[in-house]
Amino acid sequence: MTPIVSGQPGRLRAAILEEMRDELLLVMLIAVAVACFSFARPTFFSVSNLLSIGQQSSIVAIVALGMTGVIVARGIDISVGGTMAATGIIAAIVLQATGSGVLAILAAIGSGAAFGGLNALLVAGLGISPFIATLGTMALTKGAALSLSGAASIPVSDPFMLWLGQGSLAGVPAGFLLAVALCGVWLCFLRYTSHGRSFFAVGGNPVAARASLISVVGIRSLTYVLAGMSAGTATVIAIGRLGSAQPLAGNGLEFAAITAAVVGGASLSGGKGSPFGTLLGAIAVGTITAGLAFLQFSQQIVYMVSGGLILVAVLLRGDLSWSALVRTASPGAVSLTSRGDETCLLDVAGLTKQFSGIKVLNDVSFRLRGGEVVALLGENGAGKSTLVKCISGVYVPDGGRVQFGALPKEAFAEDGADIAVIHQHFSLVPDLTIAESLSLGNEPQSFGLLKRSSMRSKAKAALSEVGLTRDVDVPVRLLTVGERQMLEVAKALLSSARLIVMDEPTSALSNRERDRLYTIVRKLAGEGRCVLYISHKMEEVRELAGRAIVLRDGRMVGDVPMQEADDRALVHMMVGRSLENVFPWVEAPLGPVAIEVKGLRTSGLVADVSFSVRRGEVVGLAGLMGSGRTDILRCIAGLDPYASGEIRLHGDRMSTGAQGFASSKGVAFVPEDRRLEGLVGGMNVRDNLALVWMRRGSKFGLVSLATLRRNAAALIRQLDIRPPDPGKPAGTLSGGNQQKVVIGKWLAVNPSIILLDEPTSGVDVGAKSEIHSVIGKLKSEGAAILLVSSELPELLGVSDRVVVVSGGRSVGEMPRGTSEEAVMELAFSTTPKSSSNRSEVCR
Amino acid sequence: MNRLRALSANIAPISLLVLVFIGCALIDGRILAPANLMIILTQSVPILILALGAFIVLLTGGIDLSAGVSVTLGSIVIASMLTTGANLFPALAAGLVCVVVIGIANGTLVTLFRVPAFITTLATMSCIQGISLLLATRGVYVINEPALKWLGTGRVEGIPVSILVAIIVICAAYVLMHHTRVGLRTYATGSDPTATALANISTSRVLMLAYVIAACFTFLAAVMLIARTPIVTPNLGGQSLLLDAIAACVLGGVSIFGGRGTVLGVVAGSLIVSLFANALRVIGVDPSSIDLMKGALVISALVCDVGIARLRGGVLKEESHDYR
Repeated sequence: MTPIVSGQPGRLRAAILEEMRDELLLVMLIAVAVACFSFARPTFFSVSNLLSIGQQSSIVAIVALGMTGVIVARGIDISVGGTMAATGIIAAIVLQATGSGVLAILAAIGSGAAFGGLNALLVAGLGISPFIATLGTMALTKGAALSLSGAASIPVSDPFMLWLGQGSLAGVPAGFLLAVALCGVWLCFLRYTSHGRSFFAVGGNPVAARASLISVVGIRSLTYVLAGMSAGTATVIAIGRLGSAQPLAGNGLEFAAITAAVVGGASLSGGKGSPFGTLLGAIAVGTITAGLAFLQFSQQIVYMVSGGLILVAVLLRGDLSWSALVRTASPGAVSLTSRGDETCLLDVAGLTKQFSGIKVLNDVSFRLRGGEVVALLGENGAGKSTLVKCISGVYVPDGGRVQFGALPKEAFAEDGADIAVIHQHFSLVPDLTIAESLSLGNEPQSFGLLKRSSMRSKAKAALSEVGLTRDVDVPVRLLTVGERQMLEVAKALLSSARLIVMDEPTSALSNRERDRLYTIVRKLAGEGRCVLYISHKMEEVRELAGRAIVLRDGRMVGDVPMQEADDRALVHMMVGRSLENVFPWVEAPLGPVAIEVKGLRTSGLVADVSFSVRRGEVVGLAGLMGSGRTDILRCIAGLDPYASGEIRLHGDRMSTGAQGFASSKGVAFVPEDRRLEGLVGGMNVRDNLALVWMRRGSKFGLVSLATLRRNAAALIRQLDIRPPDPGKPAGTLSGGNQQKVVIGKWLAVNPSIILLDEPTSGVDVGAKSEIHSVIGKLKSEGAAILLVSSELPELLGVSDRVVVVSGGRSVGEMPRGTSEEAVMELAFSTTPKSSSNRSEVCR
Repeated sequence: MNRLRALSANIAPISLLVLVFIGCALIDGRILAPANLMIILTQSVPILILALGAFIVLLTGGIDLSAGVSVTLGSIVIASMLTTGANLFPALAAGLVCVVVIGIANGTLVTLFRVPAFITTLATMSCIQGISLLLATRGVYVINEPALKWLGTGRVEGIPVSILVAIIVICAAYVLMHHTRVGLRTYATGSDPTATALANISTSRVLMLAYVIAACFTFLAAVMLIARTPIVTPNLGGQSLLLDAIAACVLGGVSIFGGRGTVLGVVAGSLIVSLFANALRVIGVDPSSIDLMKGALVISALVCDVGIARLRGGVLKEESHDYR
């Protein structure tokens, strides 16, 4: 946290202090260590001894600098020790063969780059976990060193080769000077070049980095190659110090390098780290090691101290998620008192839940009885999922109570959980078989051994009930999405839960599967259980439910028997809201067509979509969740591929997945999940605003920091980002201000086509209208804007035209001024043709 | 069809073993001479047992780098107690306690403090190395314990005792991993911790147990190692044994992303590693090059692992798993 100090210089100083905190702590640590050792042995504090420590630390420091790059980009390289040994031997062999010290040094660095390239191929290219991949390379390089040298050290006497390890400039050892110089090079690289700055973005949030047109694979590869080259450079100093190339050189070096980087402030979860800190870290580790040796502690103690050091550093930095442990609520948080009237199964009273100040649920009260099917209706974002999570104990409510009433125990054989939730996101373990996953958590066993036969027969019975004809020994990951959905249902059947929540259970089902599900739901109700059924499809709700609970904006607006309300009344209840929102709409001159989409189809949700957007207009895409709205935007941005159809940007055809082309045509994409795809949360506002700009605005890859600051200040003013502090980590801003940063990131490159996916979700009222006025301003400046929003009044208020999408098809287009009901009816429409096609697509 | 694919994945390590076997027969008949085969089998025993322990941790999506040096520590504790006149059982018990304490420490750091598995075990590895050197005050211990010797070199009905021990351990591991709750939950946790937690299973407990069970296997590996080579030094076990064990797992089809792999696969993988090393020696490859070959073997196995995953159409798990 940056302390807020009035007056610019004071705040600047505080910010610098804050930024340098780790480094200052390290300097103090080094000073304290030197003081302690000098106190114990006065001879420790001599210039020659300190210089020698510096020289010793330089090998670790140079390797650790390369390691810092890798760690910043969220990787790890434990092959550096092996690489150092192998490159040393290669350099010595080249020296023997050619007699040229220059060639030998080049060979060391070049072969280091090659080994780094191997890591890059394995990790960035093939996607192998960096840890295991570099473990393999470590074995290979250590083996190569032994093999090439015949397990014997190779003496080196070339003075040029030896100078770095033995020579000095003005009394300071050359190796140490090199380490300091390289530290400076790394500092400049990470600060002033677009590639270097990309390291932090890739490590902080690879998804957002990709969405900001940064080549994640390229940057990751670069980090490994640089780490290999660093090891190759360090080897030259090591050879100089010993006067020979050792096949066993670099033993434990990877550990020392990781320690130095982590102690110096690099975060193992990526996105953080500084070369200067790493240099100090290497010196600190070197000082402590040398000091312990000086006090004649044995090597053993030194090992243990360095082992402890890294653990302490990792724990103290606190960037690991272990604090989340405290916050995780156990499923037992819901009170399970057994009182109340006999038929009442669940009693929810005055339930309130808020996230960062926004009330997602506001005083919700209802009761559920055994033997009934209740529909839970509401628009996207009305609070349905939050309600389910509060009931099932995933969230702890901020107010009100959730209570399971008493039902005769004997009605249910086992005393299991009271509630089973069939999730939209699957809760099945992919690598287990069907039989195993159905029993997980409640496995039958005798004498400590699993009763596989009873697991199988139980699973078979459940499968036949839901109509799945699958071998129960097939792993879950091989099932289709629809089959998994039915398996989830089977799992709920097997449980003894009295309340079963189904969240959009038919979205992935074929018609046949859906009919089977209806039968099961009725059967469950017949057994005296209660089914809470969440769906957007009116026909389903009519078919199954006896009663509907309607939520809107987190409030309960209706609890009506189905026969008393027709569809129109229910829709009205869901969307009808007070007229408190006034949307600023400005007239703008229409320009030429900027986006033209014809017959777009993807392998996912989008089946057949056509529309166009002209410059100077806002087109809204309306549709239910899962209708394919987001997919359309992602196709236009080039983030996802499409199967057939055509997209034209400013008249030019765009091929599938051409992210680069889209961006060259001025496409900006503001994603739905800004934390996941929009921002690099750990990075400050200024750098986030420059994510896209820095590559276009840079000359020869060099970024002008002055321009970067000026741009950031201008954007913060233009968008009124609060607090107006460019140094604040973007992840700590409020939702609305985070969204402004994501929009600002694109405004920095003057986009002509802007795709907005739910730009105001989770944003408070004030920031919302500010975002709306930004949209209006961009429109009048001639941008073509495509807007997706689940909030219909917003969509209707901001857009010039609305295109309605249902089941992956564009089913209609409406002019400005159309009513919510008209749009909703179109969006809810499921003509037989489209629904059958839909299930085909999903299967 | 799906069944067939699943089956082929299980058979892959065994067919690889057969292929290596045939390859060896073609290159040099001496490798497959009965006497040499027996050597390969007995040599594979410590690798196999350690690999089974590493397998359990890999299943959870983690890794135990401290296993190799734990073998060293266990060996030294047992050896130093035996050479100072202690009886066999107290010595073994002391060794077991030491190794299990390390397992508990690893488990605690990984579950309670959420330190990534490899950082945890890298740090404990360094500590254990220090402790081993500290304990090994005499440098070299020569064990002269008849019971241990019988375990390492004795024969029952012509079959080496160590191989019988290995068979018992394999059976125990098989039952544990494939026929008990612990095993099933370990697979589940490694495959998808969130979904497993949704089934009301404490994944922390599963992880903790995995590290402790792995430690028990590590201890057994140490016992079998000193039974065969009665000269114990601080260089016994360590990095190269660990690398062999991890190579055995990867060759045996254990996914480095957690959740996949079988006991039989690990057995086949261990035999491949042992056979490979022995074959190189018999052919007369320079001992200094054997490590290089092994490294190449591990990398090819990793590349194959990715290849198989892509062939199966399985999506590689996301980056967030990197450090677990």
